[in-house]
Amino acid sequence: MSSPFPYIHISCPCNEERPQLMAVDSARPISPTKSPTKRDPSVGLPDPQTPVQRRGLQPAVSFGTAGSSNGDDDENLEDEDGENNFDPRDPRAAFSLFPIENLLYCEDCHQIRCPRCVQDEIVCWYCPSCLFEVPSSTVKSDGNRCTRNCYLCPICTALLVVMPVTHSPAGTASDTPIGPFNLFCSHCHWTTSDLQPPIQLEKPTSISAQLAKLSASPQDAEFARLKQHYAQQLGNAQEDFANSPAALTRLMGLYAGLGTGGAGRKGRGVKKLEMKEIDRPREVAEEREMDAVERLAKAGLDATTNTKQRISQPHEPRFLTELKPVAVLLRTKRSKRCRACRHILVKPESKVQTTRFRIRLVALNYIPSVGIKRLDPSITLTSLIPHKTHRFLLTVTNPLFDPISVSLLTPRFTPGTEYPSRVTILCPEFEVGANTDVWDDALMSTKPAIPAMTTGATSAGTPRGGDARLETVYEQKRNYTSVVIEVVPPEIPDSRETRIRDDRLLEIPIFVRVEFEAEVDRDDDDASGALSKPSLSLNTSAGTAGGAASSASSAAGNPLARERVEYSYWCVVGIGRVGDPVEGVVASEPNTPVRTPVGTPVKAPRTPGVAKTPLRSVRS
Amino acid sequence: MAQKSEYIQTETGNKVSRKSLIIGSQNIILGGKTIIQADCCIRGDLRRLVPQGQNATAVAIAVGRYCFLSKGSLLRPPSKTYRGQFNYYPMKLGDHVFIGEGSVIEAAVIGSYVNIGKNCVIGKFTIIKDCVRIEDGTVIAPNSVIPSFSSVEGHPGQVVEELPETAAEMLELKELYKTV
Repeated sequence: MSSPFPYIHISCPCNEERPQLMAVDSARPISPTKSPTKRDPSVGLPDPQTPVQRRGLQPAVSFGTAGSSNGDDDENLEDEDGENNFDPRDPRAAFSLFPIENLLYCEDCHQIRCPRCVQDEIVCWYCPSCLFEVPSSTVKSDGNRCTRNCYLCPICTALLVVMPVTHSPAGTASDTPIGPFNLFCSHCHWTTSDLQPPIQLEKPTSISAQLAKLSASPQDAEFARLKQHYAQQLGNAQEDFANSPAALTRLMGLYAGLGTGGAGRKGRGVKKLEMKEIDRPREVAEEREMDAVERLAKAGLDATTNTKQRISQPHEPRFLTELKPVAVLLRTKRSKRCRACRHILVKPESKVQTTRFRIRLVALNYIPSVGIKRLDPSITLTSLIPHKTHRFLLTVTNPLFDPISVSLLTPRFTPGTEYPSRVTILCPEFEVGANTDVWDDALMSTKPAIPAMTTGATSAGTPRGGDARLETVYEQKRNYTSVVIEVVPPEIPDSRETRIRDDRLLEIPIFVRVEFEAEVDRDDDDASGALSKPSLSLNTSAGTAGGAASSASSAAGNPLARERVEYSYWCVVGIGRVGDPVEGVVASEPNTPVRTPVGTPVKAPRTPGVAKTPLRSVRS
Repeated sequence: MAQKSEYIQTETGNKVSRKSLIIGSQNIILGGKTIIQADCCIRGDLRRLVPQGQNATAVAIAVGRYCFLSKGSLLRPPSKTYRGQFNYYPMKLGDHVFIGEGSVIEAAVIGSYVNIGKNCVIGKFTIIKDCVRIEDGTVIAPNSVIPSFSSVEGHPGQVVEELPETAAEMLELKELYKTV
């Protein structure tokens, strides 16, 4: 990962095909929901449906183990760590780690969706240079390149401009520039006059048409000939290939025949299209090849094209003088669908030049995000000092309009490496306020927002008092809370092996679990879709069916009813790189308690007491 | 020097460093809450020459709100010879435009939510649409058009990546304004 430190990537649940989780799945008592019902065979990915159902289960696993090891038994902990932790170095993990900006959120599955588990649909095609929309029929007939006047330099890929070949003498301000014209690259000063033979145009407009007339390379001619040959043979069959059910069955028949050897199927009346090969294959003229060799001898290698230039042109030019201007490739605007439930997650406006979206369900508006920064500005992230306690500030920001309670979990030692770093979150449980406007606060002061928050806290059943927890919260503002995380990197030798495995890269997996109470009557908002107001609430039936861990309070029909919703995900914090050891910092006391600037140092318990919440008992 | 006194704050909340070089300020419009750091140069004097008699109000450079010009950046209206006459053409920047240290900008139009890295060269008459990120050290050829949601890199600049839908939030500069 080349992104600058520190980075935070969130793991999309679509990578989780981990066997130990599956085992736990089957052991879980609540299993009526987890039968893989809606498995879509056409989706080749690891089915995004399954993680949905596991959403509530995964935290239970972590907390369950944490709860059992309440006695701070180190060995026990490490064993548990090894089993259930997310390993950022796992080759599978790399595919599902994305910055939160790149993630979408499906309101129906209540799940993060990464670029791997969405389906793109093209809304429109446009030329990125002239920004004109190209109708899809034109794309089908003329190919995915701009058919206007947009051409790129074949040498450096900058945009070409039309210039008169001879500059009109200064002073004579003639109204119309005089031809002939050539295409000129204002970056590398290549012109079409450099070609052999030079391309010079009569008019400064409709370049595509003029170039189409000029360029008839042997390859183009060959292609045209082949196309004509086969199109002729298709002749009558052409119509069959249009969108008709008959064509479909015949095509299916063709493929089925291929699969089973074909012989047995022929009798079934599947008309197989027999193509006659073209009788005159392409000829390589030896004279032309000799010419090329001679030219190479004369002009040297500098006059030849490089691979990139060669493969970008259909006629595979060998010499620079044979290159042609390249028409600009079209770009698309795409809408995105959830692969599991087919709901639209992103729908841009169809106009090319607007950047607005009709629907835009991005994770940023739904998922409390984590940020990290140095507490001590002297820390250099690219060379962390071994054995030294580095303190960072972990900030959880709440985009929701309900206050949330957050528990953070991290393995005591970073997994997946032989040189684990010791990580401690000083205050792993805390509350984050709602994302209300400053104005809203003033206007909605009548609403009992604060009591709801406190009841949420008490029902979470924290082992320590609320006050004790707040003491170690470093900073708490309107909708974000910061806590201190300590990292003690180990000494890592600078050997070939450690370099290959990149052991010095320090990545910390953190499990973020969020609980909050949401109003149940938000379903109307759900229906209207594109609202910026995020609503994670479910009605009762959806909650149990979707496996989302929500235990609706008594009356689902009651508009004032609130329900508890929990959400959890793994994220990976790329803090930096471990540097060379510094003299004076010794490994003697790895467990030194460090004073936090605020409050007393509290050894982060591996057990966020949520394991014993009434919430869980309700669910099970 | 204390940081407060380094900047001159205008009525609309622009903060202009005393060490910056602003020429032809009567031809420059700053939309408000724009920060101009030390050693920046804005060439408002290079404005469109109109034939005598015509008295057009010539704005050479228009900058939107919440823009940030880092140290040593240069804004220069693009110029060309058209019909035998050399002339400068106006430059327009949208809102939330960040320009990195030492970058030279000769674009015609830059949209909103554009982030230009360090030591970039934006060629003459370039049009950059909304929500674009230009990586450090990119050279954008003259007359180029950069479509929305692009990440551009290289020499000459090429679109290397599509930005996600959250690009506008990612490139917003309101927070940055508060830090100065």
